[in-house]
Amino acid sequence: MTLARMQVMHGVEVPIEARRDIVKYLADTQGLAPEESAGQRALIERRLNRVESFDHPTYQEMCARCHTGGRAQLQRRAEGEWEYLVHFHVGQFQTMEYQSMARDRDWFGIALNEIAPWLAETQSLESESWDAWQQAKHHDPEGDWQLWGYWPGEGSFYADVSVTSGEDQDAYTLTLDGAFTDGRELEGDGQAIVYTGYEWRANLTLNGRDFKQVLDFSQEEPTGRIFDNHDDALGMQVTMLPQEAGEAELVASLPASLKAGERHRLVLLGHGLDEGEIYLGDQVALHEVVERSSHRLVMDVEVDRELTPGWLPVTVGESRGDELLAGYQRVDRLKVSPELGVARIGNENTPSVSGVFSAIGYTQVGDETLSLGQVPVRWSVAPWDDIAEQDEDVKFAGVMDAATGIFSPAGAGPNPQRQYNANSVGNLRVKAAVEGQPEVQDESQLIVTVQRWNNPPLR
Amino acid sequence: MTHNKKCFSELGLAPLNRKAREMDKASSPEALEEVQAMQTIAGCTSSFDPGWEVDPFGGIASLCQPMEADLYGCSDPCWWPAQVPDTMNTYPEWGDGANHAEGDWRKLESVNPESAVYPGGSE
Repeated sequence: MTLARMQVMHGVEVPIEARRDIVKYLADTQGLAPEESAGQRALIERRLNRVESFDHPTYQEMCARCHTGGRAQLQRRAEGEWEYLVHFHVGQFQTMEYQSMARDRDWFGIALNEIAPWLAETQSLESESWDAWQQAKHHDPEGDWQLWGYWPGEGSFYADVSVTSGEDQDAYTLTLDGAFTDGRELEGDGQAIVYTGYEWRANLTLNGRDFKQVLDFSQEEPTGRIFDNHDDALGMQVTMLPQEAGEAELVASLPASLKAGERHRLVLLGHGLDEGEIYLGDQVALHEVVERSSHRLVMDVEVDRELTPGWLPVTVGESRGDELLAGYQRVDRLKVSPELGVARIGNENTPSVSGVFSAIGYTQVGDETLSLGQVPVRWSVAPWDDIAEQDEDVKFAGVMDAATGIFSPAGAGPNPQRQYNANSVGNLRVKAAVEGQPEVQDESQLIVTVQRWNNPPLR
Repeated sequence: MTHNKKCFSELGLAPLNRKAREMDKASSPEALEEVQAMQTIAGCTSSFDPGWEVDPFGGIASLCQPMEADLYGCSDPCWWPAQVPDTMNTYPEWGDGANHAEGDWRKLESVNPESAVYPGGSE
């Protein structure tokens, strides 16, 4: 961000290759330790539709009223440097003190005398965690991994990932070979750079579509997000697991639940799965083992119509996953997320931002509430209130895909069909109803709003 | 609700537009304060004049519409500089060649320089 500001605001000319070298050098020598970035992974991964909270009474109003508070939380400075940042804001954005939540107070005085010292104390330039990280042994990304996640609109997927060192320092190439749980193939490749010993940034192509990938390689099992750089909302949280490991274990099940009477493809992920008996309980029939390796089992299974709801006793050889896979007869409760989403109308220069919703099902077994993961639902939108109904927001703001929960906003610009030529914005109620159980519903709010032209990676 | 803590109607005033009606609905000073202190989605401005993405009531009814009608009234005085390029200091040429935003809005481009973080020199 500092380099970009030097370019934009002070006319510094730096070729992209040199800029990358500078970013790499600064990240490696003056970066953040994993503990220091841990609280802001969502911002780094461009997860949208979050509400921030901070352990300071006025930080939100003073700083995070224009941009995320996380921006400053990802910086470390001495107090004098925090004061420079305050001066920069007043000098660069000169009407800032006239705006709401500034003109009602001594913004500059509070920023200098309360916010800067607080930031200097909580985010000081020197830290023990950074000193420790520089001495720590970093995980090597090179090798064979498996990765899994949920691609909105496409479904759960898994892939073998092969990572090879490139010519440049901390540069890698990777290939992905996998499938969705419905059997469709998933293939991809990409290039990556690791900053600060753990911050993985990759360009990926998956089934012909371009994505960015952020991973935290400070963990034994790196986690992160793959997302569309032109529509941050379209992304998938992913987990990577080394293919080889010392102990046999079951780590994940795709899907997370099976419904009574249905026949499914079931994928179990872990280690040491290539040997031993497979047992999913007396009420789940194993029709076929489609694929079996030490790190993955892909099976064709069918669930008894009279299934007793509860955790299924998933067993492969000596490995057992007691709360890995739920069996259910009916969904008792549904939870839609996010509770409040913001989508944006767009055009070529400012691509639209989708609304991406998911619905998690729950079933009640005695006193225990079992999460079923994402369950099949039908999606729809309705006016949020009387004003939205009167303005016909549902008609103008965009289209909800009934099967996927992905809302595609309308185009940008004044809309001559609306009163006052208003933009195609909208205040919508997003509804989900369980397939086959339409009485089980949940809803949330979607604001379809205008585009922004200022879209740095950290907003 | 007005600064002397009376509703418009108590003062013999009828709200003329939607925003004024919404303000009048905020029946107590505490309620208005509560509305203004509402947290918004991370990255969206919560600077309530009225707000770029969302109005102070959590909706869109009080936003300036269509946004293009007063877009340069936002960019010229550096209002919402995190969302709209400010032509006061940072991007003085942003609106050049698009003199009438309501008709020329398609010409306005995003302003961020190409990212150097991801490999390959792409965005």
